[in-house]
Amino acid sequence: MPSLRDIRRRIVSVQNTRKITKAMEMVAAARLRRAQLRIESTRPYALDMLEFIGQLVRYLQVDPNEYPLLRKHEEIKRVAVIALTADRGMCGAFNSNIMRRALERVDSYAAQGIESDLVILGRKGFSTARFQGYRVDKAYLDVTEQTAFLDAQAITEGVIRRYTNDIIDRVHLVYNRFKSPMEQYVTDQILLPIQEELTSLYCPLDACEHMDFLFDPSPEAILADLLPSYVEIAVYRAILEGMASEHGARMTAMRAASDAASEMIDDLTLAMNRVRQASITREILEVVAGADALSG
Amino acid sequence: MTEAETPSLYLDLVAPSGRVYSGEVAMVVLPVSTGEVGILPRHAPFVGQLSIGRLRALTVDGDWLNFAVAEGFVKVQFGKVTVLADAAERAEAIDVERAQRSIERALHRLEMYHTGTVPEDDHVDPFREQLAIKRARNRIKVAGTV
Repeated sequence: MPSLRDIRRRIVSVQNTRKITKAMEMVAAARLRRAQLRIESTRPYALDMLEFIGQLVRYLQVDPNEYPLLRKHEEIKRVAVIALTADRGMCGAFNSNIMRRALERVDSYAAQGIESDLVILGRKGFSTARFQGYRVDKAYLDVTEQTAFLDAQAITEGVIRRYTNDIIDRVHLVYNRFKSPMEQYVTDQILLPIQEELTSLYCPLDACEHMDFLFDPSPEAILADLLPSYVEIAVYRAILEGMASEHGARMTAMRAASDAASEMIDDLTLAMNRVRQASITREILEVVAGADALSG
Repeated sequence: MTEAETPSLYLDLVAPSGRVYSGEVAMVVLPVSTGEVGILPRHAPFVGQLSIGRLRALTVDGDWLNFAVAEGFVKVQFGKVTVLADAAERAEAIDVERAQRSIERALHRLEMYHTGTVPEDDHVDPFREQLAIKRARNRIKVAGTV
């Protein structure tokens, strides 16, 4: 049986751990709120852009084959898989869920004899992939909210260039969609070619009926320029959603850790009381036995 | 509300980081690829490409608002000017020092590129760096017009 001192020491240590996990939970909650606001503030831009593209696509009666980013490649020989993970851990299965999905995708292409370029955002995903022996083509590390848009631009530029030059034939984006702090929802979406339904869906009726626009430059040139921006904003949003999910996951994980610590403290306190009680009982027994022996 | 007697113009300036300005204005002057375009109420539907420069808006009170904008797109339809810019900032809110620093950083990276001293895990695209310099210079310029 452990001594009273040992148990006390463990209680103090668990209490200290709980202080840390509680603090981390609060930090994650604050960051989560900020990340949610960020997502919220990109919405007007994203919606306006979708409407814009929707109008142009309809106006031009676009033939997808005329635009490199809309054109489907008939034969798939090489793909790119972009995985958006976090730089830090302590957030439950967040990073490993994303990497499992991404690497599954790579494996399933490999089974068909198709090679994949792996593009990874975040230290955790990078080290997982390297540890498991996957070749990482490009890694973006230390992403913060301030640099997220630049990273989105850099990632987009790279895959667009390779897609346009027929080096890769499809681009997957694997990330964690943000639904609520508790829910983890890993998605695997095709980023390129731009899925047609995305562009043709959104066009309010009245906006589509009055399209006698003056264009400067030509509508074709504008659309050709809009499409990369659209991909950019899609990646940017995905990064922001990933960040919000990360904070949500960390908050949940840290809350669970704090709860577990509290439970452990309760158990240890009970054990400690038992030990203390046992020793008191033993002492009383000894005293009583001694007194009995004397009076007997 | 019924149709106002004087036709109105509404400016909506959005960047990926959020909505920068939204409100009724009397006139908007935008930098586009071929020069500056002035938009007044009842302007014909228009779609254009926004270039790096200064966007000015005349408020209904007669004040000029200045914004530094980066590349993007403009749409005018139904008396509403929608500007989608990669970045946009009110002239008063521009941090000149930060712009100065980003010029220096870009120049430094360009130098690394030209002398071939870019670190192994880094990649410099001269075009991007030039663009960064252009944007930062524009921000400094627009900040100076306040």
